[in-house]
Amino acid sequence: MSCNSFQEWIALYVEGDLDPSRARNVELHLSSCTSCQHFLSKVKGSQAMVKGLAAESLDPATFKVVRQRVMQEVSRRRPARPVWWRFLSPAVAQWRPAWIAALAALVVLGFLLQRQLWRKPAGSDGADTPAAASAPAIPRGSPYASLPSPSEKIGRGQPTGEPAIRQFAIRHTSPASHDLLSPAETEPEAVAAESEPLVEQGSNLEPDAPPPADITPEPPPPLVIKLVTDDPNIVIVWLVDQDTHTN
Amino acid sequence: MIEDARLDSGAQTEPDPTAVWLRYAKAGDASAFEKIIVLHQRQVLMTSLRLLGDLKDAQDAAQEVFLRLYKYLHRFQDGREFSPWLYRVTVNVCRDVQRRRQRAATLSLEDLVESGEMQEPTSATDLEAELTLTEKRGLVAEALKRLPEKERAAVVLRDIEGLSTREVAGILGSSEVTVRSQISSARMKMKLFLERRLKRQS
Repeated sequence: MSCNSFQEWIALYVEGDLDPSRARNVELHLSSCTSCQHFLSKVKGSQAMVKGLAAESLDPATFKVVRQRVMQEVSRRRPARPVWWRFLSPAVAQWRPAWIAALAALVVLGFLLQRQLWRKPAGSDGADTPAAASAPAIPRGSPYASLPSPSEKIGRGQPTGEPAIRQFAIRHTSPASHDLLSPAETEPEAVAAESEPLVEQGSNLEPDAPPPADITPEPPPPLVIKLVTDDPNIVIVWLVDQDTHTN
Repeated sequence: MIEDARLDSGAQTEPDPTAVWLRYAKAGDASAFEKIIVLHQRQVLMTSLRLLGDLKDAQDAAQEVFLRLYKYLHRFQDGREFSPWLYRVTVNVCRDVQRRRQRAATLSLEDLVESGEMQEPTSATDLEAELTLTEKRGLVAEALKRLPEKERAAVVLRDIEGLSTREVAGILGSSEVTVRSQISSARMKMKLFLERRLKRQS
């Protein structure tokens, strides 16, 4: 093997890039070849100069110029994000499958809760339900305002526990209107009373204002007190003579 | 396996700051992307400077490297080693800049042999010790510029950036055997070039 071939290996040997068996061959050759020993020392010298570049550094302003140019271009390219994204982005950056699963569980839970609340019967809340919305409207100022609407009666369905008194209704009614729950007898003029303040349910134990002129009874009608329970089959009706009441 | 060994030995492993900033940058945090630039600007700019030999070109190349990083950020997989990937992008960008620049004044080993420059210089004067650090770096930079593209990349990554032959092969997409051959050739040319210049100056 010639010295030229060994010198190719020596160029690797000097930095430990030669496999052990070849390195042993190089060492054997070097022990007997002064020319290659000289070559080795020269390669070591040039390598020291080359590796000296590793410690070279530049003015920090040189790096800053590059950084600023890049960030200008980045801000030009990136889509505008709202201010709140600045606070949200760390959370998004940390997203993990567990987070996604937890979020999905929350959404499902919220959906179920919403459905449960939607079904729950409630005195005034019932007016917001789709069933109530489709039922005939009862003017708030009318004598039937605080009575359950037909849709409410349907919506109450099966009692869930011990029957409890849910509503009190004290109203003047016409003797002709035996069906107190029928909104069909509402007079057009009674609709005008809708702008009157709504009497809060459960607190309307006091007698209301005098009935509208158009439904003034002749002779005076009896006072009707109706107690509605959770059980639609149980309705307590108390008829009081008007004269007794006024006295 | 490595993770298990670390856990068994009780050693505490700190998270790679770049990996953390990468997650934030992927989520659209521009300041996190700037942190990544700060962490790796030296690697990119200095490697570009050695591959191109010109500071202005190196700055342009470094800018292009980071903009490519921004463009393909979402494709970078978590857990992948960032630094070798960035070296690869840097080498590719510098190769493109070099080709655009068309400064192909390379020094081939065959040309040197034919011109008789492969013979050992007769003067044994050691000027190396007399040169200032700046002069030495200037000489090495000039020698690097005259190397063929692939040899220059191999020797810069191996001898200046201090990567292993295997890492260099991975970055350049070559075999270790090829990289060793390129490194050997480059070192011999560098030695010859530096000796010749030192002799002339003497």
